[in-house]
Amino acid sequence: MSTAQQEHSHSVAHHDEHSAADIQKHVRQYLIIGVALMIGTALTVWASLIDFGSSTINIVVALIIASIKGFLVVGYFMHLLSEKNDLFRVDLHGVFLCGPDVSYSVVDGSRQHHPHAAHVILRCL
Amino acid sequence: MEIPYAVKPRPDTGLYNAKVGIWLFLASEVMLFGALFSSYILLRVGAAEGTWPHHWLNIWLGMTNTIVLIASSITVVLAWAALKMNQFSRYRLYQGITILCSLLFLVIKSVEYNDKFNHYEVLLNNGQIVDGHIDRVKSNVQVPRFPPFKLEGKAEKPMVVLEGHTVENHAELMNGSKHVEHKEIEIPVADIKDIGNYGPWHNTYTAIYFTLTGLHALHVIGGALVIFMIWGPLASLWRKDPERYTNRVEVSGLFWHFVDLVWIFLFPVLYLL
Repeated sequence: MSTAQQEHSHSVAHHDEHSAADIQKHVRQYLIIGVALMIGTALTVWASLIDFGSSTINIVVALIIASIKGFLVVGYFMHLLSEKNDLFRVDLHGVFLCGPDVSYSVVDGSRQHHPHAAHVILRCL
Repeated sequence: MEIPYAVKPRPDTGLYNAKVGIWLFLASEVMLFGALFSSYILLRVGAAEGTWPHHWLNIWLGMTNTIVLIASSITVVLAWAALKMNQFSRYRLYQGITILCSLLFLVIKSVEYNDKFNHYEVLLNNGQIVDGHIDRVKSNVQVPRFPPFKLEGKAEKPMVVLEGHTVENHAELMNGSKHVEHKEIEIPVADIKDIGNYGPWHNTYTAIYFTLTGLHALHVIGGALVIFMIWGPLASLWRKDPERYTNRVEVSGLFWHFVDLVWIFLFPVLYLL
């Protein structure tokens, strides 16, 4: 086995050992994130019962809460925040690029019937 | 020749092959669901106030399903963590709960689908609309669940029986949160101008609802099958090559979290708005 390969094996072994110790700590974190997601679900239902004056605003509020929940799933359960490589960043950008896409759909679709709400969202963007 | 990085991560990227594959696959899935989701939002916000169905679905069933999927996501990540800590029996327990959660999700979803396929809107000759759930036992004609909705029966006085209410126009049916007194209504077939249930063919909302939730349910079935295969028939790999087995669990877990992620967005827009 070459020196480089040995170093790699050692680094991977060390990484695994390190991961096993870390994982014990992360289990508690996973449970906290899980509870946060369930609270977020209750919050989504509660927010939907509030009349913000326009269905478009209600949709935006619901999407913001859903995005925070989505971030928790992707960031912690899927380990995107702890992974340090470009592929994950590309995927993360892909997910967040969907945001403007959906926002455009909201604004464009609401122009005809909710011009004021569309104006508010455009200013926020 | 052995394929490199099939188990061990590549030093420069920190990824093994399957992980690269699943993330690329998930990127394509984001595009698929993103396009459908954007279409839904565009149609939803473009609809004039009062013309888009509101609260047609049971919020509590939807919320229960959301909690079931979140719970399954927690057990998936705990199962992976258990393997990393060399606790195979604990992994078996957590992943068993995941499989049960996926079955519970599908059962609740099928209850919801069944409700929609038994929910009919009947246009009468006098212009009124009767809306409600069909009583197939009391009705003496066969009412199909799928188009064309041709009523068939040999009874002397063919009759459709619904548990529902009567309205003057469609607009009154758009808000499902209004409390309406339901009663048994007998409708002679001769009085019926048109009849149809709340399947995908009913209107734009039900079409996109069934498309999105149906596609999502297919992903739940696929994900649950893979998790089951790794959990049961392929579990012997744990003894031969624990690292490869753990990688498989991680990759199937990533897919399962994605399934949960999609539902997190579907629940508010389909059920609450």
